[in-house]
Amino acid sequence: MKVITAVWGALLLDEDDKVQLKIAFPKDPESLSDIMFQLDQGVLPKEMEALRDHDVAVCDNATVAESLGCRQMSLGDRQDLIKKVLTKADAEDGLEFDIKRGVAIELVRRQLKVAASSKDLSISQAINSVDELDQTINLFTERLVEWYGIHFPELEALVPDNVAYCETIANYGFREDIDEPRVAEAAKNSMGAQMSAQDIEEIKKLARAAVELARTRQEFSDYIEENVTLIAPNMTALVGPLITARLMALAGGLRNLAQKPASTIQMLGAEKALFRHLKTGAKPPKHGIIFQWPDIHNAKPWHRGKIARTLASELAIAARVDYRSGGMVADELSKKIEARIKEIKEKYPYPPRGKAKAKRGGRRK
Amino acid sequence: MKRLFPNVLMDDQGIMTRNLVRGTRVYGEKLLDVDGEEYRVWNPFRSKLASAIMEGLKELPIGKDSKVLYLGSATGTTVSHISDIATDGRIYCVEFAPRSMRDFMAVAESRQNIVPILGNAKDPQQYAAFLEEVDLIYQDVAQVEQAEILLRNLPFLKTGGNIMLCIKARSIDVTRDPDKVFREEVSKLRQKIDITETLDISAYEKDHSFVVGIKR
Repeated sequence: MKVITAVWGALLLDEDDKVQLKIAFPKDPESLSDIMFQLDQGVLPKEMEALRDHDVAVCDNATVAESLGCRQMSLGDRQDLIKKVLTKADAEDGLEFDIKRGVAIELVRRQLKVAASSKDLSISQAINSVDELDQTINLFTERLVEWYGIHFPELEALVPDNVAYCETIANYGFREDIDEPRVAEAAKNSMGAQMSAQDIEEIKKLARAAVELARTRQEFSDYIEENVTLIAPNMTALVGPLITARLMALAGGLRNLAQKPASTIQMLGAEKALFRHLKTGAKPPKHGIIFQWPDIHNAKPWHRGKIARTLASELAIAARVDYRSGGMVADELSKKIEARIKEIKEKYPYPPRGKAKAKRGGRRK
Repeated sequence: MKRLFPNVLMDDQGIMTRNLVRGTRVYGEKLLDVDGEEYRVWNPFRSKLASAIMEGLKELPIGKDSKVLYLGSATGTTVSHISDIATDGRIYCVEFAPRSMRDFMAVAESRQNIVPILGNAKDPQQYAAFLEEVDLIYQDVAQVEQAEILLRNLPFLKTGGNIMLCIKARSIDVTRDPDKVFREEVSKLRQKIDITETLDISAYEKDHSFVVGIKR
């Protein structure tokens, strides 16, 4: 027997394609939306439970097929069947276009809700914000160096840290008011100009903005650390919260990340180099964002590729476990990685001969 | 001012469609008044169908009553113009990305002839329940299996119905010569479709071509 699913209901057909059972869904848009949403989410609606009592060999909907344990027919077969069977039935129970449209719209709204509700999307946005905040803080600091430099240029050398520099200006303003001993000394002998209270006040506004951004940046960073550890504990245990967050952002969420092969995870973040290699035959990149892992960037250059590959493989496993929330495997993965890194270092203590020649430009024994 | 197709005008600046929802814009386009009717400027740099028309599309298989399956509706730029043309028709729009669909909802809700579907065009069974037989399949998905996707959705199209396909060479193979890629994709279609027009729209969209055909 065959089953065809439509928005208005379902049909059970026998081998001669005659309608044996007609299930009509309730006609109100609310119920129809519920039913369509259930089908979308892999749940057989209770209105279709009656189908279980029959021997269904094939049906058109994936959820129905899985629930009833039958095959899924091809789209071509479905459309042919519809044409054959539905002219009379559709006229009797067909749904007005406007109602069908309303159900479709409601279904999309619910699907969007499901898609939007994930923590990992927030984390991706947060990490991108962190980068943008850093750029902006930098930009403002440079501007402050120029602007405040009219009044007290020596401060730049005395306070090299960007945020501290901005804080100093925001808190004190006039150079004479700066409390710190080293700075106060330099302030007295400054070659900068005098500034009116109004001018200093304007500069302080910018400084305060930068400080505020720095505070937000720190808060985002804490938020990311806290939450990444919660949703992807294995990956965080392997490479830390920031790299994990960046991988998730690059892949477009934890689910996407978990579906990527290890070779892709190895390259995430190196897209420019990767496509350049594919298009022009330039040498391929060895690592993307995972370069930030200390055991890669601190390793000898000729070890990095092998280590990157190893790490990516275990990261892929970690990502899949994390997506399925299947407990902690990080310890075993970590041991595997360490063992392999040790092996790499022992097996390849010296750079390969070709490389050395190219670097030194001369002969090597 | 020339009337190119129903509800589509052309002047010396470009093309435009008659606004189905008077007074509203969809993507910041310019609104023009022509003989008391409001028209929306149709930008060929943002809409591939517009670029095809600018490149001399001979026939536009969209009429006032047309039923269209639009695969890859994104945020609805081209869809809105098709909606302007097919005033009494129905446009079933399939889009995969939630982010794009989010923006598309405003367009879909304000126009009674649009049905939004959040789904994967590679798996048409997912949304088959909502569909009816259509007169035209318009496809603009940047995917490797562009030809396969169209063929998989072909059962929705009536015999003698039309297809319009945007082929993006870079999506199929970023390393190969675009012309070779086009020819290969088009040949995959020929088993079921008679190709009636092929247009090169690279002037507006790099390495893109536009194919029109009829289902046998």
